[in-house]
Amino acid sequence: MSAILDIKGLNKSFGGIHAVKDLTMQVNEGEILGLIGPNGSGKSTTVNLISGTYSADSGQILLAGKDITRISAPDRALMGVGRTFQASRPFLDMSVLENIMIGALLHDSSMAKARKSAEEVAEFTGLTRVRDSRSGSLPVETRRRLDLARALALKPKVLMLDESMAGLNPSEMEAGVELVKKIHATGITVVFIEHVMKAVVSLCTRVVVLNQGELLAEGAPRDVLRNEKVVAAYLGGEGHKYA
Amino acid sequence: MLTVVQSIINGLMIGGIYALVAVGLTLIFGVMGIVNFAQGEFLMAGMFITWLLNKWLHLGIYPLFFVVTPIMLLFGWGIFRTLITRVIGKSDIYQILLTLGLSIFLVNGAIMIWGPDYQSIPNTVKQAAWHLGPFMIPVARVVAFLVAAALVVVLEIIINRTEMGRAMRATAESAEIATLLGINPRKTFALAFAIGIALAGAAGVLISPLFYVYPQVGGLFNNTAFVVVVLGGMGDVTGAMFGGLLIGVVEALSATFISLDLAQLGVYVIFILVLFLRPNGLFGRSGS
Amino acid sequence: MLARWGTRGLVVLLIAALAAIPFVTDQQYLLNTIMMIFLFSALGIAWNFIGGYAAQLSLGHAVFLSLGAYTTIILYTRYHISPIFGMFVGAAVAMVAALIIGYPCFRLRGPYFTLSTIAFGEILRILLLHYVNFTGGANGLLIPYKGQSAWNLQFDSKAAYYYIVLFMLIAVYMFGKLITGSRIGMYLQAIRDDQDAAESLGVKTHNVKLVALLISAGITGIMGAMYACVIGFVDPGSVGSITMSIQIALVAIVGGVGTLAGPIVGAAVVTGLTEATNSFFGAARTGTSMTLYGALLMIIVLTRPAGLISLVELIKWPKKPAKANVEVASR
Repeated sequence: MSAILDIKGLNKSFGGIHAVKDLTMQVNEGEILGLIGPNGSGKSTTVNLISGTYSADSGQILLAGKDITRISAPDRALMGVGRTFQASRPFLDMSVLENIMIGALLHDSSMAKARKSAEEVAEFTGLTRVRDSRSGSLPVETRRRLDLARALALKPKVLMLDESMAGLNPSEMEAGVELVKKIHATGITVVFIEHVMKAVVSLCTRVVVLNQGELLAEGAPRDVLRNEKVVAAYLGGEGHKYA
Repeated sequence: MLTVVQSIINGLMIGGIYALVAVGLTLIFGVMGIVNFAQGEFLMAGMFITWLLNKWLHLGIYPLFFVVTPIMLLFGWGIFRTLITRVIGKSDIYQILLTLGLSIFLVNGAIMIWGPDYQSIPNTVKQAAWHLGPFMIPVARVVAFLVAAALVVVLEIIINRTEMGRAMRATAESAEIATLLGINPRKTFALAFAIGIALAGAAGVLISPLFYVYPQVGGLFNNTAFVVVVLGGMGDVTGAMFGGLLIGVVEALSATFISLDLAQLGVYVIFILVLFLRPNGLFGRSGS
Repeated sequence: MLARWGTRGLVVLLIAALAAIPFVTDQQYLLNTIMMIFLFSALGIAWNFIGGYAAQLSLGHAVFLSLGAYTTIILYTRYHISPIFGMFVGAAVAMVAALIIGYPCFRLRGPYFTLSTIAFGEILRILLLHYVNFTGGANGLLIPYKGQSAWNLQFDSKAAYYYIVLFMLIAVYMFGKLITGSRIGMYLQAIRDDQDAAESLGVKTHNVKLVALLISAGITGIMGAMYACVIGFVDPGSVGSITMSIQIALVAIVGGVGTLAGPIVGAAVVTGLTEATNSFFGAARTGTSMTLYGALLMIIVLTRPAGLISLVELIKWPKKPAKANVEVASR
């Protein structure tokens, strides 16, 4: 398997806090990688570094072999890096369809074309019913779906989902898991950052565990969750429940 | 050569005042992330209070310093509680607009009450000067400079050595982290704002022998203070102090050697250059 | 749909009523006041492109206004170039200034843009005062009246100016409508709501803000030229001051940040307020109207940050669907 994302010795500090410490990891083409770890372990910072929202202090990020470390966030989006945000952030004053169009406009030359692509994405993500609603008025579950749809409209190669399941009830989560599987089936590599272990175990083919900004363990979900270091660092026994 | 040295001396003296106003501004920005567009107007308020108290109580300017500065501290605290606290955590556009509205209100309120005319406070230090060889140093400027420098040093000590300062530094880093450390960010914000305003007020007292008292006097200092704050790196107290001195000197030199009306131009050109080349401030860390 | 046509009908009616005013009255004072409302409405809409849609607070629009005004007057008085052409040259000069201001600032986040608009405003004001030969210094420049001529935009009656400015306002409004519905308009709205999210979706925020500033500066330059033609005179104290910059911003903020109709409401309120205080208090109490501006600005920010237009649901931002619709849909 070839690595679509190759991260080498990545570092990022804020003030005195070393949020990501000498991180080296790969995301393989076509997999669903789970990125897990306790609060403040550097998962979101890693996503922000890969998407270009933050710039790295040192280290390298390669996308399909190309160095993107010093490239701006919008250019990375153009090259195929898509993401959602931990606190889902739709453009509140726009309709659902307009939100998706922002992503679609990247590849579509005209507004009409972008609208058409956005409609397709809305259909795919189950948002057609609410396409004309003002996105500020949506319930959490729909917002998360919209966040995902927007990133999907970019036609990304890699899609990073930053806690897309947070705050969802079990049935909503199940629908969310199904949607991620459906997205994966279209050939998009997924990086899945999650707290909810059940979702991780049911979706991911491989898991990377971060702790205090460092890579703690990686491997198949069931193996990793039995790993003593991982249990000690953060799962505290909860891991066995799903293992 | 003599003129150069004399200009530098003059520049340093006024630069001390710029530093004082700018340190207040940068403290407020550093701790709470708000650019106070009314900073110069608080200096104006300090001058007017000095002028009024001098008329009523017949106290001299320097005794009044110890009255006016605490009054301004309270004034700042009151403004925080009534106005500023309502825009904390909102978009910086609203923060700027609020303080801008306050600035317009204070200037023109003063014009409504006292008229736009120049007032002066009778005092004995105005003409007094020390002669150091060929150089002349007006006493009022020296006092203003020394008191300003002392205040900045005291503030530095407060920030770096006291519990109160620790709270300010933590809040400046992140209000959330401060809360985790058991610090009340609102209280810290109020304190920082009040101190920032008190410093502007203190500057107002100190310059009252040197400048006329009039409603628009704050405008002379507002823009300069912005320039100094950016020059020193936004939120950096030490940077603002050196920035103030530097701007004072640049202004004095360009007034002497280029022309008086272009002196301000030099200041703004420096501002633009810093923004282009070193947006984190002349003395700040480089990179973003 | 019915409401949509209702709104449209209302707008047409409003324009017709405004166009009829010069036929009903020949009171020059009234015509002049309404014309100033039109002018500041257009300036407010122009300001809104950068201040409202892109959420970059400019306190330096006097730069673009005075560049437009001075360029046009200088071209006319020195080189006999018609203001009709001059205003576009003025707009181009204003856009160059916008590029110089915007380019370094939009790389940075925080209040840098606002601060540097103020700095550039001061720089230009100082230069206008200093280069007396070219700009007339503090005395300003006068457009000599050479008799009625449409080519020179000089007319005997206020009514002619009134119609020209009304036409320009309508044109600016229509242009705004066009922009807000376009790609750049959508990008601007996205940036205002969440810059990080917009960038993650491939929006080059730096460029988009720059385009918004260029549009804003260009329109402001043209309106500045028109301002000069209407008044017949420019000086740094009137067109080049920070007070002018604040007044332009105030119109948009009081009326409604990031809306097209807001600045029209704002211009009416602000101009009305000025005229009212002037007639109440006279010139004796010079600070009164500005004190009220200051208070108004604080009150708007604290109680109605969306501006007065948000009080009027009917002519609100047209693209938002009705609330009831949303609730049904999100079930």
